[in-house]
Amino acid sequence: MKALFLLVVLPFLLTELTEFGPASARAIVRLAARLLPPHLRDRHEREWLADLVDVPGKWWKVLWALGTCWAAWTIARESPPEAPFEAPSALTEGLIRAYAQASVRRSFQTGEHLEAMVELSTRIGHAFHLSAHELQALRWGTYLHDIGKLEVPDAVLLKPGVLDPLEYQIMRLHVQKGHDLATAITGLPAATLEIILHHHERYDGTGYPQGLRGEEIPMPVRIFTAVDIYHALISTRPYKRAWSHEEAIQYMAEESGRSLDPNVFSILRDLTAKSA
Amino acid sequence: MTLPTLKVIHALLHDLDGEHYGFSLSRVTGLKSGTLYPILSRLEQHGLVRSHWEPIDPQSAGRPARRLYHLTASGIKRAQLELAQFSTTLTPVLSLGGGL
Repeated sequence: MKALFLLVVLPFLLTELTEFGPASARAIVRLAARLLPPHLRDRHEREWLADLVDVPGKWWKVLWALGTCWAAWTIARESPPEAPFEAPSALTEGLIRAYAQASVRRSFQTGEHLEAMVELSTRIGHAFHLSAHELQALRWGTYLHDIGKLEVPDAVLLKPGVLDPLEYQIMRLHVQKGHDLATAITGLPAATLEIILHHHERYDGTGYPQGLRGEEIPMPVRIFTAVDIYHALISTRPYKRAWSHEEAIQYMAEESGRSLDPNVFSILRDLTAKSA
Repeated sequence: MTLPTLKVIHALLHDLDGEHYGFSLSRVTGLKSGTLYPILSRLEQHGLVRSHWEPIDPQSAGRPARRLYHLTASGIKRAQLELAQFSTTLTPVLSLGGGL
């Protein structure tokens, strides 16, 4: 028993203690965020991880991170429960779909792929146990993700070939334009606006407009991004043929952990395999 | 309003245009994460404080975007009122600062 302690447990403890630092502090903050109700998790986790960067010294970082556990427990205790979910009126739902139709018709596409995307993102959302509020935000975000394309000139949006650098810059602006346009729809959930603004962020932080990385990208956005890529691959575009389901999944497997959240990808792969 | 809460609103009122985020407020007020974040959350729930993501590109900035806090119009009014009540007794305490 003593030998086991000296040979295995003690070296393990020493390694853990000496390596106790920023990574452990980040892990503690992520655990702390789990204490929060789901609708507050992403926001506080992102905020606390950003603040942690400035805390000097590894021990202070760990203490600060332990403090966030207390903060999370207090905030969870004091926060009013999420408002009960109320189904949107037929008019609201209809207006959002009309906006969505306008954005896809702008590119001479049909709305069918949009309905398929909504269905897939909702199924993935269910698999991640998103709340009713988050599912609705995800659904609306899926409908409205490309409304910024209403403001992209034809010469760029409908160009059959590869975009030159300037045209690419103009195309990239559609996320910000879409976000600005969508803020005019008062009462749209924050997560829907986040999908519109961030749906070209990549898991490895090389996307746009803000280069968010990993879990800095809110979960509904990571779900939508995977669905968007899958549907772009299996659809015909001015610059490419439609790929088969197998080709798309093979490509996405290579992108898993790069542009895609690996957890979201594995759920998408399982769900599309069942229906493919 | 508790003393830690007064410290936070004092810091926000003292520099209305400043970019205040969790850790910067901790440095000014001396409050640690466990106390500070619930206070910010409470103030926001009561509409005295608003927050938004810092509009930076984390890639070029080399750090994640911070959550920035500022007093709302009603927050400024309330802060002035609360702090005026205790101005004589609390000024030395509030200006102590500290932190990590």
